[in-house]
Amino acid sequence: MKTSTIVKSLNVLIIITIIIAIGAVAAVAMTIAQSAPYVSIGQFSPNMTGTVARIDIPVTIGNRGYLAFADLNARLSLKDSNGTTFVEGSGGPLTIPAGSTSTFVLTITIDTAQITPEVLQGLMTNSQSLTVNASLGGAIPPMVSLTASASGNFYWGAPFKNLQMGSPTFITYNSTHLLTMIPVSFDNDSPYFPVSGQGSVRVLDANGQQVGSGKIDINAPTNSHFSGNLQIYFVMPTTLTESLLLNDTTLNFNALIELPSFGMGALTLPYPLTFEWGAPIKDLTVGNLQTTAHNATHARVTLPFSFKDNSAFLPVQGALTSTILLINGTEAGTGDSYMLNVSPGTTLSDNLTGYMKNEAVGQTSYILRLNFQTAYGSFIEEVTLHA
Amino acid sequence: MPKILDLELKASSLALRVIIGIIAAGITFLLLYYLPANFLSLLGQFVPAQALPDPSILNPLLSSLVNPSLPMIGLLLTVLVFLECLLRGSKAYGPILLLTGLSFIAYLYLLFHGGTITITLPASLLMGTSAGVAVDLTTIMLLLMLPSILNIIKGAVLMTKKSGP
Repeated sequence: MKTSTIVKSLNVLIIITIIIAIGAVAAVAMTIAQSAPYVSIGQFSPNMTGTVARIDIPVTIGNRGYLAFADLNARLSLKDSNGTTFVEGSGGPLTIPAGSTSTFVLTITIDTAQITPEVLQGLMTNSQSLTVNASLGGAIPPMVSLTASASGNFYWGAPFKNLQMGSPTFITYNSTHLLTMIPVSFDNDSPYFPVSGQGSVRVLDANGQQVGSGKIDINAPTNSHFSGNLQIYFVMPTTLTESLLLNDTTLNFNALIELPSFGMGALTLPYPLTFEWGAPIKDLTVGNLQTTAHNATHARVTLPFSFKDNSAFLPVQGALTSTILLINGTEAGTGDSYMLNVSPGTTLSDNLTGYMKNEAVGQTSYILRLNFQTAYGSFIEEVTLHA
Repeated sequence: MPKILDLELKASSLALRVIIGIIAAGITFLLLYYLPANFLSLLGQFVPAQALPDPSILNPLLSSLVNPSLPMIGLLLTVLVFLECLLRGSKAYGPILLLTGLSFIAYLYLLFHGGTITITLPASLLMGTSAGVAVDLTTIMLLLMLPSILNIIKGAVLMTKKSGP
């Protein structure tokens, strides 16, 4: 074959290959450019099956180009610092022939069973690194294929970082309720989510009975510090046991605090609430019995007694009656009814008076039966008396 | 009549070749040298600054995409394209075609990163998450190389013809 023929043939081939190359590049470019306006994200359709929340995100792609889209796929996962997976997502693979329209559905699943209250509390109160893994793929065969992947940690700023609750203070609110103030402070470390709204609290006693409730108004924009007071109204006790009337003690309650949140449900925090109980009738002491002649049958009795109302808010009001018994249990005398009216924090020191049979006078020891009748209940206390 | 190497040309023909050579070389210079050498500043002129990431992120990213050898090969191709237009039909034409073909293949190979362009997005762009994108353009690269391969063959054939009896 002549060289000139070969050169001419090569020239023709060169022109053909140039046309093919330009055509191929143009076909790819046109496929992408013409299809781009026909990509639309549809309405999210969430549904719940058992503990699994599923959100379908439909992405409709109209392929108006000359080449097919193939193997379109996506994967996503989000884990906390302990490796707990919060969110998983996947979609595809999907092929869209040239000239047709298909919907690529990215399905996001959130297994709420994985997000225990402890995990949620950890997310809300501890800033940490969350691990994200994502991948995206697709091809315009045989010209182009694309794979994209992202992995790494991104900073999760906890909305309730450094959440602290101070010591409660109790004050009398009205005749039926106590007001408890608990200082609350935290840093909203989140750059994305403001915390605003009203938090609430329920206080339960050891038996699970609600004994108080309250609220707190919170407004903490992103990356801000918040401090305020949680106000809890306690119902004042209407009845008290003998032990609570006579003895100081530490009362333990469980406060369930619900703080406002954003789409993840309220943050519920258990908060042990302790209250130093002051006994309304503390350190009850009775002095020596003194008798003086009264008439032919009875002697006049004087008996010093004292106690302190150690309660911070409960006055002691009611009547105190007394009976004097011999050691063998025989009634020897009765006391006059004594009207009690002791303010919280004050000490009552006074004399009980009464009458005792003359034949009972002269014993070295007696038993004094005190009958307290207060607004919180009645009880009987017996003490040994010395003449 | 002007003579270049073994080629005798009319003055008008030579002038036409020079003009065509300058135009072809100019286009080559613009596309294969000026564009990659000034990619960053051109991008800044045509795309609003607020639509672009911070220069401290964008510059290293684009620098990794554009091989620093590309402008030099583009400059070489500019000269070769001019010579190709000027010396068509001379004994130097074959070697010039061969060199042009090889240079353009090298240019395409570097432009397409061997077929798969891998971009590592800096962590600062995606809230601390590192991300990578790999685009396989091998088929397109090979298709674009085909004319150059045929040019090399053509150059070799012409060289054989010139050196033969």
